[in-house]
Amino acid sequence: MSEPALGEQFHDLERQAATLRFGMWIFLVSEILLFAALFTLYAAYRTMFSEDFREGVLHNTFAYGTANLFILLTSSLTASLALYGARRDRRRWTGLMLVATAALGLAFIAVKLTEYGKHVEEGSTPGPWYHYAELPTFGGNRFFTMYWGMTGFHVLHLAAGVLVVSWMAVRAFKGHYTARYHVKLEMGTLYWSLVDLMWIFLWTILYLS
Amino acid sequence: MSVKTASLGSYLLAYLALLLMAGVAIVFARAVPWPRWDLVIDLALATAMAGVVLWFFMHLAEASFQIRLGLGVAVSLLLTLLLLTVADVATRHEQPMAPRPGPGFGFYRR
Repeated sequence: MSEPALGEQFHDLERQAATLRFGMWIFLVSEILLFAALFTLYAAYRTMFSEDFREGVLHNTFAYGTANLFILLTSSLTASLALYGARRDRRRWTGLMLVATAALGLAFIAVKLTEYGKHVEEGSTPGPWYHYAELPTFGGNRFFTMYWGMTGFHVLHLAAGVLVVSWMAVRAFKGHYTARYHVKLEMGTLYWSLVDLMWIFLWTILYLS
Repeated sequence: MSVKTASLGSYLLAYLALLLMAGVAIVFARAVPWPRWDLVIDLALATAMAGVVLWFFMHLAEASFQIRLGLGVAVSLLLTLLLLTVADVATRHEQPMAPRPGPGFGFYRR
C-alpha cells in the first residue's frame, strides 16, 4: 500500500483532494457543454424535420439502445460500489467492482458495434452514404447522420472510460485507494457516470420518442 | 479525508429507481398514444433519471456549493442554448431552405 503523494502547493491531503475534485467537475462541465453543441444541432434539425425524425426513431434499433441503457445504468452502480469499497478499505471489493465496470463498458461497445453493423447492412449510414430504403427522405438522412455523430462521439468517450477504469482496477488491487485518500478513484467514477448520464438523454431522443 | 459517505442501501435504491423510471419511459413511449407529448414526458423522465445519477452516483449530495453552482450554470447555459435555437427555428415565418441533396440523389422522396 503506497502513501499518497502530497503536492508541494498543498498543506494537506484534504485540500489537495478538494482541489482535484473541483478541477474534475470543471472538466465534466466542459464535457457537458461539448455535448450541448450536438444536442442543439439535433434540436434544430428535429424542429425542421419533425416527421422524419419521429419516423427515424421508430425505425431505429430500439432493443440495442435499451440493452445498452441497462448495461450503463448497472455499470454506474458498480462504479459507485467500487468507491464504496475504497471508503471502507476493501481493496479486493474495489478492484472487482472496477473490473465489473470495465467489463460492462466492453459489453456496451460490443452491442454498439453489432448495432452499427446492422445499420451499415440496411443502409442507415451517415451523410452521402445514406441509402435506407424504409425512410428515403432527406430528414431521415439528417436523423441517421445525427445518430452516428452523437453515438460515435459517445462511444469514443466510453472507450476512454474503459481504459481509465481498467487502469484504476489495477491500482485498486495494488492498494492505491484507501479510506484515507481515494480522490483519483472518485474522479474516474465521476467521469464514468457522466458518460452514463449522456446515454440516458441519447437513448431518449434517438430510440424512444 | 472527511467525507460523508453514501450507504449501500442508497446506491441500490437509486439503481432500482433508475430501472423503474426507464420502464415507465418505455411504457409511455411505446404503449400510450400521445404523440404530441411523449417526447416532453420522456425528456422529463430522462431529466429525473439524470438527477438520480448526479445526486447518488456522482455524489452531488456530498459536493461543495461551488461545484453545485458550476454545474447549475452549465445546465442553465445548455437549456438557454437549446431554447433559443428551437425558438428561432420554430418561429421563423419562412423556414430556411433545407440543405439540398447532392447531384444524382433521385433516391429521396423530398
